[in-house]
Amino acid sequence: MASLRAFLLLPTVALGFALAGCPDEPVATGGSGGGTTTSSQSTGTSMNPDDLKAPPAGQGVQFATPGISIAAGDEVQNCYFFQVKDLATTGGLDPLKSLNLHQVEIAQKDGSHHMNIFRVKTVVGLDPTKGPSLGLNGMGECFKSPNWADWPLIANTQQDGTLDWTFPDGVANKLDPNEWLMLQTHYVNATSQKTPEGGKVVVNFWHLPDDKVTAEMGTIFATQQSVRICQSNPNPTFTKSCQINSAEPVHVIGANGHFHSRGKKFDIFAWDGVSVTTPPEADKFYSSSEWDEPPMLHSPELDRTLPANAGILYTCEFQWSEPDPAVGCQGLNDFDKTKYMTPDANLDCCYTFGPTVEKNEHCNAFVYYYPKQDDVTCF
Amino acid sequence: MRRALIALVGFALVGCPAPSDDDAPTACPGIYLGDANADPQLEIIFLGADTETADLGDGKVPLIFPPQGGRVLFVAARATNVDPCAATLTGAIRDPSNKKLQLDKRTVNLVPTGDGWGEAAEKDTSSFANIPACPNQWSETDLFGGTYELTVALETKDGKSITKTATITPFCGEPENEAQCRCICKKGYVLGEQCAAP
Repeated sequence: MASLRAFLLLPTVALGFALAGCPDEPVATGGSGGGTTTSSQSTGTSMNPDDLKAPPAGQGVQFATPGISIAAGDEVQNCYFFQVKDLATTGGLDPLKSLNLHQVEIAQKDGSHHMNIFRVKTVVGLDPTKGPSLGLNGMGECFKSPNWADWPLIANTQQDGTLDWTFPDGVANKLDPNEWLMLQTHYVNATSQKTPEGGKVVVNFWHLPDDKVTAEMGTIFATQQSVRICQSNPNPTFTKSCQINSAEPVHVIGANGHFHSRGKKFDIFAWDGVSVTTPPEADKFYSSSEWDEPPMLHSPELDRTLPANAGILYTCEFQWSEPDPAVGCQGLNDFDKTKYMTPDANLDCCYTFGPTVEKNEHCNAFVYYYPKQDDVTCF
Repeated sequence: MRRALIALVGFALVGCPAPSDDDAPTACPGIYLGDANADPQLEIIFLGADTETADLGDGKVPLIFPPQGGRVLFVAARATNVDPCAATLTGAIRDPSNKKLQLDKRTVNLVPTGDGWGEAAEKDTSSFANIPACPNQWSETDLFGGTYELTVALETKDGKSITKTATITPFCGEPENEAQCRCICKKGYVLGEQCAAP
């Protein structure tokens, strides 16, 4: 009797991976003495990442990906790893103590599809001790989400330009000196998104001294991967719940949603954790209809209190459209058959979950809150 | 093939022309299931670890390792007297001890089964509610072996709605993944806790 597991996962294994040469090593810098900014806005405006100054010594750390070129038609997704104590050393901080992340600055070159930073937990196909993992056009371990299924989110941005977010007073995400961080960057140089000048990401994590930390930040990464946007069901909506399991009220202070070009509306609601019905409009704290530059809402503009034992509900609404001619229905069906072993009778020019912008869809929610109960991942 | 056969039988029974093999589906066929003037009826079905659709029976529903990770319950509706196209399917499980629930809601087309009823497309996990049961960061008991309230609801484009609830007992449904299932579905699981490989 064939198991469903084999039915669902064999194609993933069969995809294998191909790496395009040896990866350049990522870079950590710091202590060079730079300017401080106090703005808490996501500018979305272009900025050369090389212009992002590192925090002064003892105030934070800077780390970066190497500059990469993205050939026309390519999608590159690379995973780079950094150990907190190494970053702390470079940044003039005590490498034996936690790095208390209180302000995050991210600058990246135009063409970025997303940039996520996770804490490394269970090692499956991505091993931080083995260096960066480079992925090209859907192939490679850095494209396989089961590899970071239980890795809590730390920070993310989907916008070109600069994210500059200072958390509320006293709030910090505590990073243990021995833990590894994964910086995952996805650049697209295809029909729907362009990367004219290559890819590069520079990140500043500003530190808050221990005696000033009053609350820890927690994060939620929620991913609805069982999506199918088909000719015969062209306007589907997918809704999913995610519990925070907090015995006390929490403040949601950051949120953004991620889908691809068939995505029409991404909503995130405050949810009481016990109701089956979708919450009223008044409980919606995030909405996006921009798939390629979705808004990143964060404090101070976003500060939504959720009661104890509550959570979030998020909804992705899609509209099927003719695939890019370079992909065609044949390309969608081929992916559907290979990846999901979909029988011929069910093939319907469907966009399904996967890494490639032109032929796959996503429905991911990123939420930041305090005080931390736990880091949460919802599937 | 079986599904195609079922669809063909369904089309034949309601007197509509069956699509030819060459016709790519461009829209939901829209053939009404049953009697448009009758009250809707619903039976809860689920997807087993053997990829086969099953009736709820004794209420034992497998926790399954889906492509996205974690463990889900794949549940769906078998219904009649409803419009099969673009119906909203809701699946939820509630922990009776703390009243918390986890839910999944999605737009689905019901596939005619040839008897005036329609159901989730066979072997198509996206036509089932993927109820996110684990990681267990919400329930006060172990997901496996516990007693939970399952709700399945269907709302159709023509304004009909029907909801059914049942008591179920989830269990780790894939022996080859038993250890990891019991780890991430246990009470008090902490994200990132070391578990056996899936």
